Amino acid sequence: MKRLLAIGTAALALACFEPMVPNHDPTYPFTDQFGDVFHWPANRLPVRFYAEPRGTLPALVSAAVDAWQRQLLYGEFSGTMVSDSTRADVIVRWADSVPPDAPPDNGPPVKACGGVTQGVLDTSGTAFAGPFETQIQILTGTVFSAGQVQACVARTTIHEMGHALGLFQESPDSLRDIMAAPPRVNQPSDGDRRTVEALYHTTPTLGPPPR
Amino acid sequence: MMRRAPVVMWMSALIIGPATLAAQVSLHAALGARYNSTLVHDSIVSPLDVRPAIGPALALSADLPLSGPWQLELLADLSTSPLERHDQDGSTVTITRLWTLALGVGLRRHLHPWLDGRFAIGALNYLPAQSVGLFSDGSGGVIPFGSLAFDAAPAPLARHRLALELAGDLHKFLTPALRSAGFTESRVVYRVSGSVRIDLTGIK
Repeated sequence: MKRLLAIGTAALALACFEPMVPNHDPTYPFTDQFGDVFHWPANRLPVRFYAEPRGTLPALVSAAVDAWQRQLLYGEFSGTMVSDSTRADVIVRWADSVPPDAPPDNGPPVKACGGVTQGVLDTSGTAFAGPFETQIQILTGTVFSAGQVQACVARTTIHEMGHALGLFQESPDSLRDIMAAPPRVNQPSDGDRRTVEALYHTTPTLGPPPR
Repeated sequence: MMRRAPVVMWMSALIIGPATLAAQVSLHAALGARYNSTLVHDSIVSPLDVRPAIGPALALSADLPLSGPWQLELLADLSTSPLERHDQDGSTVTITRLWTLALGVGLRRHLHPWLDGRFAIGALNYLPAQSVGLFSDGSGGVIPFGSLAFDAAPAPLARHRLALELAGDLHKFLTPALRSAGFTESRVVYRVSGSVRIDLTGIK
């Protein structure tokens, strides 16, 4: 009996060991130009994403949502794809032309595309009036290979979905962060992860659009 | 080595003649509730803890007599509950449903006529319902554990082949996603369960 109790006591003493908490400090600001903070609240998860069903856009948006979801460890964000744009929280479309499908080029990144994400505030100025709208645009004027364009739209879609999650500013670190403009890396970095983590643990000052 | 131990013991049980074994093995089931300690303590803007809520636990065990007062016990244990994040402001967010499956081998003996004690070692696996968050890159595989249990069977319960069981176990926890996020050391996790244990031997 005493031996068993001794084992139990030793085990509980071991349980008091506390591992070190990693650094979660954000590496760039996430507020909008007025200092307001937005992130999707827990009662609006999963956030509904609609991607125009042309070319690779649905796959790109799905991969981008997954890339951001993987940055958040504790259930702060989840997203799902929907096929009806009228039920979406975030709508993603091509701005004009649809690039041909091709394996993404693994060479140095080129700016073969661009993107923009917009959210309009309601009359109170404290919540968004409707879904966020994102456009991905293929640049013309310079000839790029189909692979270079696909690599660019993959990076840009992740970048724009970062804005749709509430990362309203660009990162100054163009060598590392997907939220730099233009993005030159293929996935969110440690700095992106720390910044989106801090955002989703900061009390928002802007509400989500109505459903 | 820890992963092989339960398999070896189960196999040795199978090698013993089935007729002899049937006469000597006693089977038990235990159903109760389990508390888990914190799996992750972190601080993002403010401190937070992640742990499974209190949930049901079901254990099945087979006891085989050994020489002296000891019995060899083979056990399987399944529990489930929502995995929750607890923030400093008191709010709680469910991350996913979490299942835990454990297989182990232990030694049991009478400590008093109405009290049994048992210690065991084995391997457990976290099985999240979805590969999300801290489980987005997997659960980290099979984890060794050690456990201790006491069964009290006062006469009124013993008459009905019942006993009250208090069990606790200890293991280390770290997932690949937590490692990627900068955690370098596993956290020691303990689980405590209170169950009603029934002797199934001879029940038809």
